[in-house]
Amino acid sequence: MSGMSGMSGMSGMSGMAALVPESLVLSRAAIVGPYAGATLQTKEPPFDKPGNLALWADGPRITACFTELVEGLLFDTDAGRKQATLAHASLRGGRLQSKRLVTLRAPRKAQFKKQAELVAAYADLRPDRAAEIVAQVGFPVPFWASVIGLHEHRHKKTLQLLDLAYSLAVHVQMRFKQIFATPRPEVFSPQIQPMIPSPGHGSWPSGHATEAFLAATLIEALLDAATPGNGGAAREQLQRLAARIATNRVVAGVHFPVDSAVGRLLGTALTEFLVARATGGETHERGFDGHDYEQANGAALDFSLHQPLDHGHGYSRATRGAAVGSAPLVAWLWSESVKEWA
Amino acid sequence: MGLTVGKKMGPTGGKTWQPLPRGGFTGTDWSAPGAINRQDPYLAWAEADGFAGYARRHPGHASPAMKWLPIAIELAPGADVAALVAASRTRWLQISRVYLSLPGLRYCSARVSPAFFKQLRQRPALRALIARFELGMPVGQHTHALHDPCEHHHLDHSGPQTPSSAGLRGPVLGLIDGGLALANTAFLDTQGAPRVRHFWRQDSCYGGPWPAQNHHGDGHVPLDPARAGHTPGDLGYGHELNAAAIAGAMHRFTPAGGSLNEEALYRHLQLWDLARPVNHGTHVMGLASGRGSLLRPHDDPASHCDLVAVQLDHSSIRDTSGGSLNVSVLDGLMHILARCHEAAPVVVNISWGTLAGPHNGSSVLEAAMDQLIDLLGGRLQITVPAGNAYQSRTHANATLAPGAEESLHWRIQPDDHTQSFLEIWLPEGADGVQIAVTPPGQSQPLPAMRPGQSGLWTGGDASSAKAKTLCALIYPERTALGTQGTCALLALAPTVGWAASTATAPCGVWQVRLTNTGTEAVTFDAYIERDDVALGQHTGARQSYFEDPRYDTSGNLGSFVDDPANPTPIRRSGTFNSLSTGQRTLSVGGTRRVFDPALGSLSHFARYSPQRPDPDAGRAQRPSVKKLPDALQPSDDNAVLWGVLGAGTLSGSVARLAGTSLAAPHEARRRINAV
Repeated sequence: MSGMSGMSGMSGMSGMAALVPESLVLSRAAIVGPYAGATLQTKEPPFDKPGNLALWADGPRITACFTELVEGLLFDTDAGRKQATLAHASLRGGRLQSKRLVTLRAPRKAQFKKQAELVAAYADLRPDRAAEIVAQVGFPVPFWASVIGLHEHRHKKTLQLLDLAYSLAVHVQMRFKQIFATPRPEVFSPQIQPMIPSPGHGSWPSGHATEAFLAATLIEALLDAATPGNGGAAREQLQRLAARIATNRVVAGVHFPVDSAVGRLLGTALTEFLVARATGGETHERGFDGHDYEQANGAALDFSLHQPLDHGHGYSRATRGAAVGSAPLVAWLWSESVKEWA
Repeated sequence: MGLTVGKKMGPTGGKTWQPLPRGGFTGTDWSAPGAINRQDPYLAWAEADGFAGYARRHPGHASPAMKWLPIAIELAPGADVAALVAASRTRWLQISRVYLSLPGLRYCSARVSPAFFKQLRQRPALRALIARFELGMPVGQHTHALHDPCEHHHLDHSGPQTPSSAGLRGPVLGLIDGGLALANTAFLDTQGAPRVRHFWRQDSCYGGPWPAQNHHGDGHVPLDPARAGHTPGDLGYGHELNAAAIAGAMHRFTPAGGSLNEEALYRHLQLWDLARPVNHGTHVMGLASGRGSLLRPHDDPASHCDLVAVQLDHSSIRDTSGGSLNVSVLDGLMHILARCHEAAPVVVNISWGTLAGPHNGSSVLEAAMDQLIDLLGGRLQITVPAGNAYQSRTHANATLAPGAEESLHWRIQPDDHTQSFLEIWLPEGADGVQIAVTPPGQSQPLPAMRPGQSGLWTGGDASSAKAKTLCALIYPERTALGTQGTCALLALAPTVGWAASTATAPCGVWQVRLTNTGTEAVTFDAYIERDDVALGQHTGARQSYFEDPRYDTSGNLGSFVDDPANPTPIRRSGTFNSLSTGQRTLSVGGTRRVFDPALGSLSHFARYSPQRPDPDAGRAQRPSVKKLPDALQPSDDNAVLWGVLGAGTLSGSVARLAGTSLAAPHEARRRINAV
């Protein structure tokens, strides 16, 4: 599940492993002659410059960006309200002040029980979607690539930015899953019978939904940054794909619709955070109160893109924005990615 | 108004309509004032494109000239078949003698020569007899003259032409279908004798895979009467086997002490469809009347009753648009009834269908079936599937306020080797609706048409001698296709063809804009004709469909039925087999055998089937349109296992087929058992 390993196969020196070291030893001995000193002119890279990221292999580059990106993230919980908050504090400067990014409260057990009926209903769609469900068990990059024409040979940095964002999502959602510790649908009924194994972590929020809406909003922002208007033009397809990926997990029987609903919010908020860190912009705190995610008569509410993300059904968004400080390494990767779409 | 619209616009003739030609077969000047009114627009289209949709192409073999056209006739109120026979000559109008067996019958099929149309133009008395007629032409070989049709001297006989007092006493199950494995043990009695008492195949030439039976390889080798059976005198074409003939052939291919070699039997009988392991007709007949499997044996009346089977002409099976079903199904029904005693209870299952038509039971075939059921005082029941196109976006419905317009986006697929048709049905009095068509790639619509107008579009080549007919819009004030309101037909050439000479229409979106210039609101229905590939066929047909961003294609829960609040004109509801909208026939929708009652209709219905109750019931509809199945029967086992198990071709084999074709025979079985 680690995002760091997502880009394997992108190394240009993959022939190295096959080379037998003894042959290099033999070859050198035959041609080397007496040592003549450090005769090459060497340009030392500047100290602590983001541009040095261009020198490194993909994995180390993403790791370096990642430590910067998550610097200052902290989780806070309210046991009385069973509520958890993700905040960010700039660790630089004098006074430490944290800014809330996302506040979540899970639905009650009774609500999950009602949602289980929707999961049972969604099982009807398994024959339609089995191929997609299996193809989307990992990060479904080919699906995003298909929408926007994303290619390994010309969008290397974009793929790494996506990898970085997935890493952020994985780490944040795992912490929330650990905090809320909600059971999977199969725990509520012996008739759910998921078509793939339920993963070994909590159900809420849905990681696939979080990652899908993170990818959708990140790609939209990237396209808009490169060519204003292009993100908006792709938005409908990106959002539909994210919703499809999220709902496919419900169809598979491993998630509730309300897991998708909170994942949509969390993924969107994390993109907003990442873009703000990369561009020095602001973010607006977002919230999701699972207690309110139900129909007026108390019946289970199904996930839908038509539900506004900023208000209603438990969703909220602060009107005042807040800066989250700049992250030069993330900013470098962002600007290199933007260039790939110009 | 009977004039073609538009005038030549200089060298860029692709921007206007051309007049319909004078028909080479009928002699009708289709662009004369009023010529298209009360006629079958498919006949006008066929004459406009030289019957291109019907030609059977055999390189190196020129098609012989067409001598006879098959048609389905509705006679005027008070007239009957005998009156038509009396007023005609077999030189130009031939009717099977079986149609004289039911006095008062106002429907028949006929084969007509060009002289028939001349007679029709010249003799008001003949015109007064015929209310309307539809073309019923098979896409395969040309139709030949009938053997021994009705003559005047047949009218002198006091009794009916077929001695029905000697027929089967019933209850009888009749099947009209393709690929009927009549020696499968499912259709043998407990002594091993055939329960199929009569088997009539409507084809006449060999077209199968066994080279020794097809010397020229051109499909024009007549079937051997010593094997396929003789042509039944009262029908005048095809070949018939009775139970004794079937039993004799079975005996011949049963070695002493061994079991029947079914493959050799079917090869001997020249039933080449049965060389395939699965056949639609066998599966359907097994569900209606088979003896079940070892696991689930049947011992009900339906598993013992007599069977009369009609195998449709091979070209009727290939042509999913159903162009010849009106004639072949009506003939098949008459055959079944003629082989039964005049008091025998008969249930006929017709698991066949098409998508375009009036949908109010007023097509000639549906009206004929209704009258047959009426004439027989209820001893005849007919089960027909409700259709499988619920999700296929082939139906649009909307109500146009005065001055309002609606644009339909008709998506024609590339690589479609067959013609495409769109029928727009309008109710009585809707004479202010204008129709404007914009072909793919054109920035401006062709001139809008009003009722009574028609035209051909030849693309950019209009002014050249090579101009080909790519499209026709035929918009009469009244139509032969139905009895209420009218129907505008938009007909398109294929989008691809192997031969360079094939006229090909552009694929893409054909925009059809309807504008209500009248003072009353008008509710219309638009139906795209079926254009897919039937089981075991390879026609290159590609189903066209409507497009609209508002139509929910998400495949999410609840997206498989219409949302009444969704403004899209594309409606699942109203998509219905156009053979099963009669008042007396029984339309059968498909359900899942196993479902979760808590989930209700969501898990109850086969997705492809019309539903009951109608999820879109509140929507305005043309008068008398049928949208609800009369009965519901299983056609899927569950959400995953679509289809139901049934008989494969050879005894003991089992196949799974899906569709309301398999729901209808369940209902037929229930009806036989209730007799």
